[in-house]
Amino acid sequence: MSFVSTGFVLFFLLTALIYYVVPQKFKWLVLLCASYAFYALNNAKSLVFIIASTLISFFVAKKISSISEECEQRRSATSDKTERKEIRNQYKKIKKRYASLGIIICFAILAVLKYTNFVVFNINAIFKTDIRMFSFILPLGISFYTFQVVSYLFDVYNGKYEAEQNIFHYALYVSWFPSILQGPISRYNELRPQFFETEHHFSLENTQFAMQRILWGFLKKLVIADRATEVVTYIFGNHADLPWYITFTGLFFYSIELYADFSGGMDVVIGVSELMGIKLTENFRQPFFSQSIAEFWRRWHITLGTWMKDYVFYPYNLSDFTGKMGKFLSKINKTAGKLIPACLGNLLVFFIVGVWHGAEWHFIVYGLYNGILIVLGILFKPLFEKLITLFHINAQSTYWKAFRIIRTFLLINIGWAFDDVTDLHMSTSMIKQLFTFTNGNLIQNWKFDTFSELTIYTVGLFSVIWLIISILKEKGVDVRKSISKLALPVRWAIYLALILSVPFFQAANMVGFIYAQF
Amino acid sequence: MEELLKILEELKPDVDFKNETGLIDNAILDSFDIVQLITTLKETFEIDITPADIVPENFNSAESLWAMVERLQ
Repeated sequence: MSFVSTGFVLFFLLTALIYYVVPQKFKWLVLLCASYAFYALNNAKSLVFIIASTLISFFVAKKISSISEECEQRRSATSDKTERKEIRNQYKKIKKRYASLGIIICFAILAVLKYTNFVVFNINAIFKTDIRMFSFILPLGISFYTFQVVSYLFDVYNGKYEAEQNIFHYALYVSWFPSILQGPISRYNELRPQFFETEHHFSLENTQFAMQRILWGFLKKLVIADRATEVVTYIFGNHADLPWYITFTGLFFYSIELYADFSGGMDVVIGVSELMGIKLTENFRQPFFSQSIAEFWRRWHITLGTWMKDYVFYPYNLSDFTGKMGKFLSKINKTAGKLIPACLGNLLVFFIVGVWHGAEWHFIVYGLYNGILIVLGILFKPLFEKLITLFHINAQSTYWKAFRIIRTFLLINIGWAFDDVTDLHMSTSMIKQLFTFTNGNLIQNWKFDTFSELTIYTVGLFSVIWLIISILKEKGVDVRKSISKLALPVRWAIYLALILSVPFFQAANMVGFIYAQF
Repeated sequence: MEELLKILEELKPDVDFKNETGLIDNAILDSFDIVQLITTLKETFEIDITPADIVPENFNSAESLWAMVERLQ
């Protein structure tokens, strides 16, 4: 059931209706039933996997919490500092064993189902063997819910909060239907109070805001993304026969496609959740206004970035191994001792980001491309600062900021050549063409014949509207509140224009959400 | 506290650490700065900082950082 289908609209409206009719104490149960119904309707066969991950992480976290409790009881029985420390270390080891076990099992389910064929493919390629590929069904949203259960295990282990005692409460967090398909990757302590400790009453204003957001998401997906897809598919598929600047235009359209697809999906997800009074974390903050690649990743797929920071980057950098490496390097050079471990941590994060995107080499290169650019930015920062002083550049000026935004945007666009491709061979072919300014074989004859001019104008028009909204948001304007303050006829003219734009301008072929495949 | 301020000023000389209260919220310190800061804090004050301690409440100002250091000592 796609998020942009009539079936889904009926599903969430019916859920909202029942949700607001039943008494407060049963509301969360409605959401749990709806979430499992949604999962079963989409992919009943893989219910077993989400249930397994839920059960394993729930009971492991519960065990960790009980160990922590026992540890505190023993610690409070003595006032001797050394003894207290010893007790803590002793229990920490036990907790670590349980946390590692839970995390490894949950990741193993993901790894086996998602990456086995990638490993088999590479073994066959290297050793010239003929091992048969497996035909696993990839459970719906496995990459997203696995990251959620792992964050929960980490947080309970680190003592950020206590483990949930009610398995059904926890099951709702893991399976919450709006975010199961493509995130955002939520944290338990953010959702728990909203699900179980907040009273939710029907509000017309909240419903209007939620429906606006959902409608805006529909428009971004069905009109902008799906039409941009037509352009991208044609150009990427025929890039070898096209001039280099058309290939670059294809990458530019892919920026629009991917951003409209993913952020449009997020608008629907966040809007549907908001309809039930559950506020999810935003996943985008005008990413194409970023002045550096590092900033881009703080504004693009935010919840994946913060997950990586909290559960990979910091634990790696605070580990004994990294500490020892830092100390060793500090003996040679103090700055190197501090920078090199952090840079390696960053590369590790982006390697995982690449792998997370899919079991293909080009995704790994895509991740590392971003990681390497960030590391280079950090290593060359002192040099850049000297050059800025040398050339008397005002780093605070609008021109300089605009230059940085355009530079970052170009680098991001080049990176897409490793993302939306079939293999690395296609990536290198595109990159080679771009950097050698080569025109394709059919330069004399090339023409766009798989999509109409209307597609270009439609994507252009709605992208400009979207850009204006993004600028307003960047300036701190709450667009939905501003619209709600307008005179009734103007307000409804905007709503109607939005509603009618979807069926009028939507692409002929509806394409599935890109991130729902992860 | 003086020692902490010295460490912070060495890390980012152009920031007014005595008065700034949004080091994380205002994105003054990024994750690389935080990692470098933690490495120095661990060495200088012989404390054990875990990932659970890396929350904005502990890192938003010199004062909150000092409170964390004292707590972990």
